[in-house]
Amino acid sequence: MLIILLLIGLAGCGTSQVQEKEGYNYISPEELKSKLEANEEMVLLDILVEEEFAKGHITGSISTCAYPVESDEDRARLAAVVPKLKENELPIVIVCPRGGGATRTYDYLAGEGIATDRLLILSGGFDKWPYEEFVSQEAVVLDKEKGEVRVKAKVNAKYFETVTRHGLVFEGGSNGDKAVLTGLGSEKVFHDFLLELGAKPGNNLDATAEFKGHHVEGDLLDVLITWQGLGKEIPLGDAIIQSGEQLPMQIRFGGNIERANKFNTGCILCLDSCPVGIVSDASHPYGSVDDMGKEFRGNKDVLPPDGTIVTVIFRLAEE
Amino acid sequence: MAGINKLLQVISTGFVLGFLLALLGLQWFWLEMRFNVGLFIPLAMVISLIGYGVKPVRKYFNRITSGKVYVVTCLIIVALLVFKYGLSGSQVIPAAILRELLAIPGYGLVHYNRIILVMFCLGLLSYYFEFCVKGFVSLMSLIKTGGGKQHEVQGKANPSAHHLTANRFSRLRY
Repeated sequence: MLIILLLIGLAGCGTSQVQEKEGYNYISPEELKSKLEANEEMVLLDILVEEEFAKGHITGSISTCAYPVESDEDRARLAAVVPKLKENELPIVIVCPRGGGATRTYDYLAGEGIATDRLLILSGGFDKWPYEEFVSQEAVVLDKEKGEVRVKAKVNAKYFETVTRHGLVFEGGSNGDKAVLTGLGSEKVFHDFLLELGAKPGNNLDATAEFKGHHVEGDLLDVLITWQGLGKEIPLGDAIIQSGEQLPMQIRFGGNIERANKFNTGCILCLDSCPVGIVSDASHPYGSVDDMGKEFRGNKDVLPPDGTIVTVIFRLAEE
Repeated sequence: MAGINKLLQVISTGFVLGFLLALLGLQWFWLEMRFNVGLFIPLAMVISLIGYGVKPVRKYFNRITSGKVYVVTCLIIVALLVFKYGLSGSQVIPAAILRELLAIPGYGLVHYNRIILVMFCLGLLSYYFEFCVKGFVSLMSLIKTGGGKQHEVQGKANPSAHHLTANRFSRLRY
């Protein structure tokens, strides 16, 4: 294990802890908090990667996903916001995960002609930001206007190659690594948001043998998936390959919050009727995978590459 | 130097044996859905270290830490990967197993593949190093004893020449 840990360093992509460098302007979390409380106008320029930004960022930040600001691709992401930054003379607070990429962002923006007296780096980066009241997340979002719940997730290419019964599972759950899509937000929050949306849970299954062969009940949901650059939403069913007969996906709000709390599996969407997953596919009865040999895997011809952040959208469907 | 090399062999042999176990575990769907099969890797590494560290079991364990076992295990892993998952899948499955085990934030499959490659190469190099050292010592012995024929003659005349060479080999067998 020691050798593996040493090798991790060799594999590159190290992260450096923040050390305030001379020649750069810094702002402490306390100072920034007081400015936010006073509603002072400023630009919060966030360079966290998409996954980290979705999990949490300072409210009102502009996302650039430019971290670690080392490649041309990273700098191109910053270049996209430069015209917007030049529209005014407001102070720009650069928010980095730990601070390592912030100085490179600072240098890049200064090189693009933005006055250095406008540029400030948040000391300690977002990792050292203690004020939860100024943090927003996009991992699970309830959009009442659109009538949908959106969950950010990461593609797991392992299940393009091997089989699973899990469609979408929260990374913090015990099954977090066992799904085609690893969710960034909690299944419990997702459950509560579906209730707020007005969906009715079935709660008709239990994790005992007598329920094998039963189908999950509850409100029917349309489930779609999209990601940056796709430009459209596609049905989640297109992204999943089934063995045997291809049945159309019928995702229902099973509920199951008691068992979700008890087992803490993180299951958001199961590919067969499930007594633990918050939603699951009613086309396949409980036990389809374990007892009837049904197999599911991600469709690599449809889904983007491993690690891509996708948004899974849940809307109430008409029966 | 020999001690460090042996330690590398022990660790890398544990790594590849654990990796093979993880790969076999992945084929059992029930187990894969309920268990992190990547845990076989540190488990095998720890067992290897114990096997090396505990004297009574070391002699049995030394049979496992041989270049032949290492190379055959690596070949089985490669064959299993290519036949079961194809070339593209072979770039995903090993890295995914290690990712499930280590879960390092910000690391993609390519980083895990690098770690695996380095581990496999370290093992190969350490066994190759041992092979070279043995060859060198053997060559030096031959030179000192004046070649094969003379060695044979000397051996007959003076059995201690044989013992000298054998002792050097036994020291290198760790």
